Amino acid sequence: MGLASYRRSVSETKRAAILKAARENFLKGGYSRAAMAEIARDADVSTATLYKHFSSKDALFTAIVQDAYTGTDGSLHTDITGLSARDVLRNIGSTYMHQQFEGQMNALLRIVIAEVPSAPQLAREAYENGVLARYEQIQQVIEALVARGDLKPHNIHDGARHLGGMVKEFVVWPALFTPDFQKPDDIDAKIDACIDAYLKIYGAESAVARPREKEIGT
Amino acid sequence: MAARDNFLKNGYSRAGMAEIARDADVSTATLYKHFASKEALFSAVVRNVARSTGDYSGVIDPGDTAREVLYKLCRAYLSVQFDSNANALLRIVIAEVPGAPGLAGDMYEVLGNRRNDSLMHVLDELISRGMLKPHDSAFGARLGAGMLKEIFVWPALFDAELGLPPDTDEKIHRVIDAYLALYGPDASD
Repeated sequence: MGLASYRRSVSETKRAAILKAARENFLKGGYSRAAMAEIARDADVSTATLYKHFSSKDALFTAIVQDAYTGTDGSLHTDITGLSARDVLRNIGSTYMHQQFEGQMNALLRIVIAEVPSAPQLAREAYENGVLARYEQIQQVIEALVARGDLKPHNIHDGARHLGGMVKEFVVWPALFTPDFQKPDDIDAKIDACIDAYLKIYGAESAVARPREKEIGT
Repeated sequence: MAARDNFLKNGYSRAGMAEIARDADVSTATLYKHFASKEALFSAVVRNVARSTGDYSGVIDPGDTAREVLYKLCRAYLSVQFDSNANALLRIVIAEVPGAPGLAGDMYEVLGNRRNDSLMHVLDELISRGMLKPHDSAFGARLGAGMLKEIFVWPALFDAELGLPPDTDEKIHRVIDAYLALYGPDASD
């Protein structure tokens, strides 16, 4: 390993440690009570290093939200090669489930929403870097499915949100109002039902019929 | 009214019963006679918002098509959210969940579950008149409400300035298109 890549890898390790410590800190006490000094201590870096990576608490918080949505844990499987539309959507669904229930996404969302009155810009950035960034990924997947003929041409911006909204009705809305919301037992069946609904609305005739024949055969 | 304005201005934890009593021009004793606690008062505010436009019975007029009825439902739903400050109240409650879980549960019951029940009754009525295919209306109400919320309400939770977009009608009709593709009288099985 060359010196430059060694330095880069140390820097990335520190960045990851900072993000982890910051996330725990924000989740524990909310945005306003989280302190940069404490986050540096928990991440085992100097405050100078912390500020080198993130110039402000704002920037740090925005990075956490972005990381939660599109970082290694949250990145979606966007390659549709060799997968049916249903499987592609199921993969997205399972990443989503993982984020919501193991990734404490709902607690993070609550913190963002709590900051709307006092720090509107922060909330707006978190929304753009998190929610909208992920929708862009999903829309790209849907575009690829339309191009392949699995889905009918349709308004992809709204269609993606129709699917997202159906899933969120069971996964996010109840959870936002319930501390320590647990994954419901029938959640996989509910997600499948939402994907069925989405494919019925937007699926091309031939693509909807195909997996059904397969199910009957098994 | 004084209580709602106060909650909207200050959020839940910073709202004070003394200030609310002063704004309403009553004594704190009178205020507490009506509402035993701040939590009870907030619940009443939420219930009031939901009651004002959350009841959909009577939405079906003679000669209406399914699309016309669904359009009226969507408009009524969004009116609660955007004209009666339900979005702002939702934000307040969501922020308070860790500190006041009872409050949040109560609000979800009124603005979530009970409203879905009310939607379901209209869907059942449409089914019985043959205007929609027979379907699980409880599930259908949640799918419809979920789509509508995702398009309009979810972005507004993150931005207090956000109102309904200029192309609201087109977006509502795309939600209705989706619902009718699932459960319209001509929908495939």
